Amino acid sequence: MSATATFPQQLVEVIPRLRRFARSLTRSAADADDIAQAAIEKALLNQASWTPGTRLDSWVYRIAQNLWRDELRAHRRRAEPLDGMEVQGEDGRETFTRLIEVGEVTDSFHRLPDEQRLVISLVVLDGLSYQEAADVLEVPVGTVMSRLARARGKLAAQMPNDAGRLRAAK
Amino acid sequence: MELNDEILSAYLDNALEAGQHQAVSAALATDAGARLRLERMRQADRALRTALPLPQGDKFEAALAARIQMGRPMPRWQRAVLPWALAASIAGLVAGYMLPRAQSPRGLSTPDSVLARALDETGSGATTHAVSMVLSFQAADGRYCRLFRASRDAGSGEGLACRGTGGWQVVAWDATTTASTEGFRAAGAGMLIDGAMSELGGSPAMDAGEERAAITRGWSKP
Repeated sequence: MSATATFPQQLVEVIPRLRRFARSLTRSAADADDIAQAAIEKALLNQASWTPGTRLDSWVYRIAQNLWRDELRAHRRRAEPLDGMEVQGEDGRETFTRLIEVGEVTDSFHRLPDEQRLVISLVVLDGLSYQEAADVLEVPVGTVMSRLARARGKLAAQMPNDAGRLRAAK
Repeated sequence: MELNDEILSAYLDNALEAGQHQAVSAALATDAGARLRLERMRQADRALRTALPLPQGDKFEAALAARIQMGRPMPRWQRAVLPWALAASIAGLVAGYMLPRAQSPRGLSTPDSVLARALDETGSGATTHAVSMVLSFQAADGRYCRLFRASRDAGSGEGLACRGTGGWQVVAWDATTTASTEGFRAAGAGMLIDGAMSELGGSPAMDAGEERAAITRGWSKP
C-alpha cells in the first residue's frame, strides 16, 4: 500500500482483504459482504478518526469486527457455513490430495472458536505480524501467539499423513 | 528444548528472536516428531490459503470501489441497492437511458431551461422549482456531474446530469425512485442511477466550499 495514496485509494485496496476477513468473521459469504459494505460506509463516515500513517486495514477490520458483534448481539444469530470450495488448475493425484487437504482444513477452520479463527485469518491469510494482529483483536501479543498455536495444532491434526495421502490417491 | 506448538508456530512465522530461531533449528534436526508436526502446520497453512483465496475482481468489489470513490456516506436506504449498481450498468441500462444533449428526460416535466438553471445555480441540499440537488462530483473524465431529485410537481424521480462543452446533459433518469424523499424506496429502485454513478467513477462528492466555487465559476474547470 503506497504511503502517498489517498484515503479512498487505500480503502479500495483493502476491499479484497476486508471481504476475506469478514468471511472468517461471519463464516458466511453473504453476511461477509454485508459486513464489508457496512464497514466501508462507517470508514467513510469516520474518516477523520483514522490516523494517517497507521494501518488502514487494521482500522477497518476493527470496524468490521465491532459491526459483526453488534449484529450478533442484536439478532442473537449464528453464522451459516460458507459454500463449498473448488480447487482448480491441477490434475490427478496431486489435485485429489489437495482436495482432501483443502476440504479438511476448511471444515476444521470453520469449526475453530471465533478467536482462533480470526487470529489465523489475520496472521496466516493476511500476513499481519503478531503485534498487528494483537492491535486488531485488542489483545496482548502473547494471547495472539497462544491462540495461533492452538488453532494451528488443531488444523495440523487434520492434515492427512503421507501414507494416508497415498491411500487416498489410489 | 521443548518444541511445543507455540514455539513451532512462531518458528513458522519467523517471529522468534534470532538466537531462539537458531536453537529451534538445531533442536528440529534431532527431533523427527517435531519436524513432522511443523510440516503438518506448514501444510495446513498452504491448504488454508488455497481454500480461502482473496475474493477479487467481481461485481461486488467493483461496486464497493465505485462507492468509495463517491466519498460521501450513503444513506441506509441507498446501501440496500448497492449490489444492483453494477448489474445495472452491465445490462446496458445506463447506455439505454442516455438522453440527447440539453433535453429533459421523459417523465420530468421541468422545462430544459429550468433544469439547466437549477443545475447551474442550486447548491446541494437546496431546491429550485421542485428540483432538489443532492450532491456534486467530478467524473473520471473530468466533467462535473450532479445528482438531483424532482418532486411530484416536476415529475417524480431521480436524475444524474453531467456538464460537457455544450452544457448539462442528463445521463441517467430513473422515474421509479418515487418515495426517495421519505427515505424509502422499493428494492431494485434506483439501481439505474447507482449504476450510472459507478460508470462515471471519479472523485468523492464535493464539499460545500468546492461546490460553491464551482457554481461561481459557472462549472468551468479551475
